[in-house]
Amino acid sequence: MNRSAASCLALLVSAGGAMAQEAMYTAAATMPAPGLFVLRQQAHLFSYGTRPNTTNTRTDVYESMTSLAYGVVRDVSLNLDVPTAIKVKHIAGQDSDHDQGIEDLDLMLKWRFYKDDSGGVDTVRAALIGGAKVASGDDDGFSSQTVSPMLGGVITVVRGRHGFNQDLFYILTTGGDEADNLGGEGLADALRHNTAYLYRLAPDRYAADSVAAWYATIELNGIYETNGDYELRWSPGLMYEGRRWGAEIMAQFPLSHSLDHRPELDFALGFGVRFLF
Amino acid sequence: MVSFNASFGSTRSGSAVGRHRRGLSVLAATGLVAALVLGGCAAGSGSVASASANSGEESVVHNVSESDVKAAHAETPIAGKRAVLWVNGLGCPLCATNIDLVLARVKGVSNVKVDLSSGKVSLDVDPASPPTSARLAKVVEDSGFTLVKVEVLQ
Repeated sequence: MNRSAASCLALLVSAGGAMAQEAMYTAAATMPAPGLFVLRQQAHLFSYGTRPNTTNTRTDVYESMTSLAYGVVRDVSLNLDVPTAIKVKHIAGQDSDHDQGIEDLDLMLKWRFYKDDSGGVDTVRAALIGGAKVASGDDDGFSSQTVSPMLGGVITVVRGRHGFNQDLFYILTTGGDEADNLGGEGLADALRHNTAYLYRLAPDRYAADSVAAWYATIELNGIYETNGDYELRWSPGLMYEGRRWGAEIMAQFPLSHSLDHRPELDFALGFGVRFLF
Repeated sequence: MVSFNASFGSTRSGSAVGRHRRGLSVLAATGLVAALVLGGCAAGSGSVASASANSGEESVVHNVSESDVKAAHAETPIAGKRAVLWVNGLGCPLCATNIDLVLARVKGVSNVKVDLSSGKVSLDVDPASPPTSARLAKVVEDSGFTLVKVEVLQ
């Protein structure tokens, strides 16, 4: 199977997800129990505007993100993200340029260092997340060919029907390509911050036989690069959580940006599922 | 305060210093909102033993004593055919599945059922090889939750 077919297949089977109580783009201080796995598959379309100082009129990125989380011991999980992408560059007056490949892998260790379960549903949790963006080996502009350390943290609060996640990550960039930078993939260090609010639409109250829940989600997703670029996006979404699997759909739009080194996002769409086993 | 540019188009204006300040201002504002929300939530929380949490329209509060919590972690075999675990932190269906998948692996435990409405987990106990409360507490804690009481049923 050639790379193009493999990428298309990956996109077609994309379903995706997160840990429990986790919106699409914001981390949560939740994790699988020791010995358990969460498989998460997401499909995204990111549509970007004009890249500065180029003749590109638009860039579309179709991304498939496969994530696996494994509960190592109590309060510690290992997380691996494998993003596969197809980039379509629409150049004024020319045919579109298609490339596909594997982007840098995220290999992270999550340590939940604080937990206060104050009620049957209510909880406050905090976790540190450390790791690196690791080169995939792809030499077609998708991988940085380096290892860039990342360190961050996340706080999760659940109060009845209301859930809240806040994460913050710093990426110490050791390599990259400004020509392919769509946010955090260039030569500058990056500070990412994401805020998510989840409201349980149904059931309003859990019953003894409740096995699933629907959530409305809203996120603020920000990325600041040390070259001065800053972008803030907002992301409305809908999420379903069952006992063994979940699904989510989400859109993303720009809220505020000041960019001189990379194109701004016009819009994004995302779909995902996740399985616990 | 901070004024967001809520346009969907490009905004390539302003000096580098201005952009830095604006970006950091937005970041600071986001952090401030997060801190306020977290502060408000934290103010409503209480300890497990006092179980004083209040989350509005739906709050499952386990009223337990210190001795209940202590007994739930005792090295005493469960002396009954069925047990009900009072558990805190069962925030969502997928979270709760962590518990029944792991409890089902414990020797002497079967038929695990999680009730999110009451924050309780019921299970059958094999009288021939009953697990201890401490063993069940460890499994619950390993799963990411807090066991505050074990109710034994005959």
